[in-house]
Parts: sequence; C-alpha cells; structure tokens
Amino acid sequence: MSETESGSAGPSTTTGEIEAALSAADLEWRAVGADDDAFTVAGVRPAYVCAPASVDEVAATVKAASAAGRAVIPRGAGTRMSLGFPPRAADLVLQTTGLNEIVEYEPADLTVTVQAGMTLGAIQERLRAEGQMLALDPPAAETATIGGLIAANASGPLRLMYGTARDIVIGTRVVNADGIVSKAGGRVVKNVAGYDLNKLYVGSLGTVGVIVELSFKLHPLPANEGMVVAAFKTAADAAKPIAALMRSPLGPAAIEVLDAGAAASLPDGLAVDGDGVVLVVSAQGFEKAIQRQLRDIQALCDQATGVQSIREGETLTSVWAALRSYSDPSAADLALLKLAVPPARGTVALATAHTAAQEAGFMPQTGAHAGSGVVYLRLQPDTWTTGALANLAALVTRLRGFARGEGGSLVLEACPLAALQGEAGIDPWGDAGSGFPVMRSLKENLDPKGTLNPGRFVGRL
Amino acid sequence: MAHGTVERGIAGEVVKSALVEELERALGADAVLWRPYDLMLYEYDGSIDKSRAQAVVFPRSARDVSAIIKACNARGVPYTARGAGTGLSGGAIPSQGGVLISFARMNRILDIDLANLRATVEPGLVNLRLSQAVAHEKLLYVPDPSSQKACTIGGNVGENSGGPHTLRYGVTTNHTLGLEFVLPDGEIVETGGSALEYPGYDLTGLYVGSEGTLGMATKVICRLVPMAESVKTLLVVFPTIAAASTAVGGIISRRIIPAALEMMDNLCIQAVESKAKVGFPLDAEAVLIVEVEGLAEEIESMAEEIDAVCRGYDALDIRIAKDEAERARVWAARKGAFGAIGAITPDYYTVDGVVPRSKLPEVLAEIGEISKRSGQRIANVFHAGDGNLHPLILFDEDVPGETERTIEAGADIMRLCAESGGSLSGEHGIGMEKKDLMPLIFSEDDVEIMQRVKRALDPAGYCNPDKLFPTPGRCLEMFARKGSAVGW
Repeated sequence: MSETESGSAGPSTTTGEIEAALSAADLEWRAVGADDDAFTVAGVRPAYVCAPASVDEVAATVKAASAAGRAVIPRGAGTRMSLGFPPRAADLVLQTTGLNEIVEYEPADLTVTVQAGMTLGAIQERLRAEGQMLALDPPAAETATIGGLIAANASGPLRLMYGTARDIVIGTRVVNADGIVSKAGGRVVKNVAGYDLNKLYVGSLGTVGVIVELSFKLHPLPANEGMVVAAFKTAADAAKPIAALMRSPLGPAAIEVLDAGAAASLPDGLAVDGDGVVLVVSAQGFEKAIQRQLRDIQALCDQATGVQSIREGETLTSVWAALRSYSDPSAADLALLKLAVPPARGTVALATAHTAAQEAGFMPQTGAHAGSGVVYLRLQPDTWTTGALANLAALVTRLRGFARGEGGSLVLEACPLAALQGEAGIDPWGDAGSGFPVMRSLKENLDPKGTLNPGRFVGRL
Repeated sequence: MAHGTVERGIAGEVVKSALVEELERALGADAVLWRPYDLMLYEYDGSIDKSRAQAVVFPRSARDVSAIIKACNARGVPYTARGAGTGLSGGAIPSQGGVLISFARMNRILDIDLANLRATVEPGLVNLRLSQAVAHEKLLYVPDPSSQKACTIGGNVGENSGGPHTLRYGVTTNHTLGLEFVLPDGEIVETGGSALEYPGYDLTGLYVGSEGTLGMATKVICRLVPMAESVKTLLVVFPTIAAASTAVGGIISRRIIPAALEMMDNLCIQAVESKAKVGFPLDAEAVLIVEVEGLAEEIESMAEEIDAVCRGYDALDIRIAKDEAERARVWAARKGAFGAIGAITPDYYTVDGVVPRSKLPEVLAEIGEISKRSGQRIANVFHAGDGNLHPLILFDEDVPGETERTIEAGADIMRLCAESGGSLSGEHGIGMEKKDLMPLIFSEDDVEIMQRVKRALDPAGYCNPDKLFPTPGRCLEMFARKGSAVGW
C-alpha cells in the first residue's frame, strides 16, 4: 500500500453532510484535489482542509466534523506529521496556522500566552526583544508551530537545564473532541487548582483535544555562553566526564554526544571517525561562572583529544546547528529512532544504537542529549529497498528490547511509510505498559467518537 | 452514617462491621482501627473541616492497598488516602466517611540510584528524610514545603506541593519521574520511570496534584539534584510593602532567578521575633528573604545585582547571612512563621492564592483594605517570587462575628486573586475547602473536561469523593459549612 489512499469513506455520513455542516457554521474550507498531496497524512489523503482564523472557528470546525462522524487531523506547520501510526481516517485536516497572535505578554511576570499556530521562531523573536526566552529548543523551531511542538512533546539540547514542555507549559486552552472549548492551568507560574491537564495535552498528539492556546513560564536569556568540545575514542570514554559533570554543581546547560556520522555536520576540525564520539558541553550564565565552568569541564576531559573552548561567533552558531539537526524528523525518507534510557546509560545507548545500525547495514548518525539519556539514531540510506526496510524493522525490535531492558523506551519518530504498513508493519510507539488501559479509558472518555487523530497514538488509540 | 462500617450491637455496644472483619482478615488485626475512640485522631488534617472515617487501615504494600480498594468497591464504600495529615485544604479528610488509608507504614526508601540521581520511595516517607538520606552525597530532593519535617512524599505528590525553593527549581511535579499507583478498580499500574520519556499520555503528570482522587500512589520515583556549591541569603528591609513587592519584579527583571524570594510583613516579623530572636527589625514594614545559589563566582555577581536593585527601591538595610548558622536561623524563622502567628492569636486561617508577580503591589494593598474592612488583622508571609500569597487572617472564634468576618475576608482575597488573573491555590490544593470557588477561575466546560478525566479513572466515584469539584447547585462558597472553625 505505497500509493496514496484517499480519505476514509466514513460509514456514518456522506461527504455532503460535512460540507453542509462546515458551510452552515460559516467556515472556510476547501476540498483536496485528487493530485494534491500537500496535506496527506502517512499516505491518507484528506477530503478537506480548513484553516480557521479564531478559536471559535476551530471549535465550530471540530463540532461540525464530530457531528458528521468525521475524523479531524490537527496540523500546525507539518514538521512532525511523521510521528505515529497512519490515521484510521483523515477526513479533514485542521490547520492551526491562522491562530498566530500573542494573546498576552507581560515581561515582568516572565509569562506569555500565545495562540497555537504561531511559530516558535516568531515567539522567540518577540521575547528576545525583552531579554527573555521560551526555554524550548527543538529542531525546526523557526518553522514549526508551538502547538504542534507541544503536541509532539519536542525538545532539544537545553532540556538538561530547563526541562521539557511539561516543565514550562503553565496553561492550555483546547478544543475538545465534541467542539467545546476548555482550559487547564492558567497564566501564573505556580498553580494547583484543578487537574493538571497541561500534562495530559503535552505529547498527546492532538488525540484528546486540539491545542489552540498555550501559556508558558519564561526564562531570562542567558547573559553569556561558552562551550567545550572534546573528542573521545569511544562513547565509553566520554561516559566518565559526563558522570562527573552530572554529580557536580557546575550545572551545564547541555551535555551532548555525537557519533562520527552526526559529528560530520560539525564545523571543520571537530569531526571524528570510526567509533569516536564528540562531546559538547554548553555553559550559560554570568561571565565569571562560565569561565570557571569551561576550565573545570576541560579538566574533566583529561582523556580526550582536541579539547577546545568556543566562546562566540560562527563556530558557536554552527555547533548549535549541528546539535539541533540530528533529531530533526522533518526530512523526507528518513528513519529516526528515539531511545530514552536512565541518564547514566546514555552513552551506552548511543554506542549500542550506533553499532547495531552498522550491523544492520546502515550508516548511522547518532546523537544524544546525554545528560537526559535521550538518544536519536538517524538513518538515511540512498534508497529504502525491501531489504533495508526489513533491516529497519529488525533494528527497531533489537533496540527496543535493549531500551526496555534498561528501563526505558524506544519510539520511531519518522520512517518511510512502507515500514509502517502491512503485516510486518512496525509499531512506532511500542508497548505503553501497565498504564495503557488508563490511556484507553482517557481517550474513550474525552473522544468517544474517535474524532481526533484516530488510530495514530499508542496502541492505535 | 451513610457508609457505616461500625455497627451497634443489640445493647448499643460497638461491634465490627463485616468490612472491618474482611480488612482484618486481609491485612491483620493490627492494621485496622475501628473503635470510635481511635478513629477520632484521624478526623482532621491541617484545614478547617473534619469528618470521621469508619475504619483507618495501614497497608504495607501496593497489594494491601489493592485489597482495601477492592473490598471498598465491593461494598460501595468510599476511601481516602492520608499521609501525615498536614494538608491545608481537606484532601485527606474522609468527608463521606468510609475507609481512610494511612500510608504511615509504607515509609521506606526503596532505592537510591546515585548514578541516575533517582530515589524510589514509598509514599509515607517524610519529605525531609529523603534529603537527609542523600545529604552526605551532596544531593537533595528539591520540593521543601514548610511542613517538610512532617509531611510525606505521597501527600506532596497528591497536592503537587511547593515550598520556598521551588521558584527556581520547580514544584513536586517537576521532580516526580514515575509512580506506581493503585487504580480505583484495584489494579496496580506503573507510570514513567528512571528514563525521561515513555510513549503514551503522561499519567505521572496527570496524577501529581490530583488530590488523591484518581487512585493511591504506592511508589514514587523522585529526582535528586546536586547541592549548589555556594549559597548566599540576603535579608532586605523595606520601608513599605509596596517598595518590597516592586523590588521583587525588579530582581526578576535583571535576569536573576533566585533560589528563593520570600516576603514577610510587619505583623509577621513581630510574631516571628517574639518567638525567636532572628534579628528582623521590628519597625520594618516588610522584609524580603532572597537566596541565591550557584557557583561561588556567580553568586557574588547575583548578590551585587540584588543589592543594587533593592537600594533602588528604597531598601533600608541589606544583611547577608554570614554563616550557615545564621542562614539556618533565617529559614527556621520563615518556616516557623505560621507557628509564630499561632502564638499571637487564638485562631488564624491560612489563605493560599496566586497572582501574577507584577500585580503584587496592588494586590497586597487591596489585602490591606480587606483587612481594614473586615476588622480582622491579616499577616502576610509568602513566596513572593512566584506570586504565591499566604495571607494569614487572625481571629478569635470565641468572639461573635469574627469567624464569619474571617470567612468573608478569605473569600474576598480569593476573588481578588481570580480577578487579577491568578489562581485559587499555589500549593495547598482545592480539596473540600475551595471546591465551590472553582467557578471563579474555571468555566463549566473546563470543569466538565476534568470530570471526564475523573470518570475515566474512577467511574464508580468511590476514590476520595467530594473533593476538588464544585458541588452542583452550590456556588462561590468557602468554608461556610456547618459552622465548624475548630483546629484552624
């Protein structure tokens, strides 16, 4: 089934009914042509695309689709549509890019409320003018919408210092599956009133509500920055300084490890080969503290070669670009595996993924948020032959077994569509554990008709 | 007695109910309290309400908890979890009777994983014990409620507790990585773990702060963090509350997030000094306690900045704790402030609310007006850095009218928080106390979605009922129940 399928012919209504419902609600929508694959979701072409301009219009759209028994696929800028199973149905793609305003920004409160369709890049630009930032640095931040990033729970190297979406989202407004609009949390940084549904929506892939507005806790932009880059013969050699750093009071902003494949995108002179790895440690804050950190970090890297500090300029910028590219899921014909293990096992996971990928015939690019135990394995063969697809499936099984053995998990964040299809199709999420019945019950209570992203989440919820 | 498990015999003597006998068979007779005299001790938490359970049980394992819940379900009896009972919103009160599950015997540290900076603990562990257990490794568990010598990790998880040092490092939810909990159907589930990402909904995050209404935690995986290398604690004296609260915003706007930023007003300073001489100036209208942490090199820079900012807002005096002993005295005074207030008034009521930091000056001025209007003195001691107010309303329940005026003043403060874009609770929870105020900040639709989540996990509704959700048909009432004002 490599050909594009057309949107499911939902059993409950004819297409006329949803058209009538959308038109009755005075919404702008358009039918998707037979040769238009711009909005196709994992091979399923939607019948309609709608880009509401307000929260009320999003609500009306979802309500109309739900009433007509139709499936809605929420979409931001489309940078992470590769995540999850192919949808069971995709009648209407609901694009949030029309919701692109800052709702409230009071710099003195270090909080901001934005509409979900704003790009993270545009938000950061506004905050930067006040010396502040949203502490989230996932790949493709310039183009990705904030709603999509939160729904996909995307993160980047700075998660070591600032945490992930769950740590900075303080309020969420969503359109629920039947079109009602509700909020959780609020606009203050400390708040325990009501259930913390922010946590439910983060990473839920739009399956229990369409995120339309988000409030965040902000951070001051760091005054200064510095970086230590060091090459090691093996990942195991890098483990020692990382362990020492994690127990130290130095508080680095990021600890990243790249294998030879991922390090190839580093600026000239920083690459390694074979089983070598590059360790990158970022220090941010007051100048005096950075000088101390860089000195101490360098001392910890006594078994490394080519240790250097980078303070500013183009090199710093291009190292950051490399650190944010290895986990970018938005390229075509890419397989991207994300392993999460207890942090101290991060370098072991990196080496295991690197070696296993080589043994499976791939040229791996492997990078790790090593202080967080999150490892990305990126595979981009020239062509995805049947053999390569089979090798990918075997690799996912093997590495998932490894990750689970370590007490962690593996998610396949992107892959060629064919890898998900057929009898031997890969489960991109894996087993959700003993909590799965609760997850199913949540989905059934919050979206009983299966309106939102049906079939795409864990266990095909 | 809607859910009675204690029954009267023919002669009026107390006899065991069938449920008590079943619980004794399952857990042992020493794990069940059922005589009214014993049950009285468990009627309260740190809040206003009280209600007596018909049995208190002391499980030792998740299997025990599961057995208790299944026995309750079979008989249609509600059940409520209890840690140390220090909660301030009634979360641990068995408001509809039934079975109270005390976690006092599940208080072990099961594992300390130094390499991964994790600790796995049972819910009955006292908060401070965890930090003490890892102090020699120069590690700590961050959330530090003022009650940390008594409150339990499980209770903290239930309420998503905070504390002074959560300004920079986050609250309980940011330090809870995984849970084992028993669902309201008695099944045991594990969520999260030592890694930071798992597929599926974030059930750990959903559970934290659910006030014991979605199940009973039986294991908690906590994050440990390295202690800061250096700490500096500044005590800054201000001529007015307005100056102090404006300075709070001034500090934050200088790219400094202190580890803690606390405020005390004059009434509170007087109370604290009358109990223990810390050296707070008695004539100061407000003091800020500002603590900065980090590398030795950077806290100097931070302290200098803070000094400059505070002087710009008319600070009268800035003192830096000269050693660990002095620092400890300042914190003992801050954490003992509620107790000190208790010594100068027969009764007080602690209000917990949040406002945006930038609104602090006007909100504190308005609280002053509320105090004047009501005639009740109000002391302020709170987490200024994150806008989390704790006005303490002083009253004497034996003086006619004072209780009512206190109730009204508390409700006025809650309205004030809501109107300024804030929240009804920063760290104490909604519980029984504020459930009927929820409409101040949540619409019917907001509450309906939360109800759907409750139904998804607890369709039968026996798990800590009567908490958090507004009573249908009742609106905007706080504490005005059954005239009980004992034990505030």
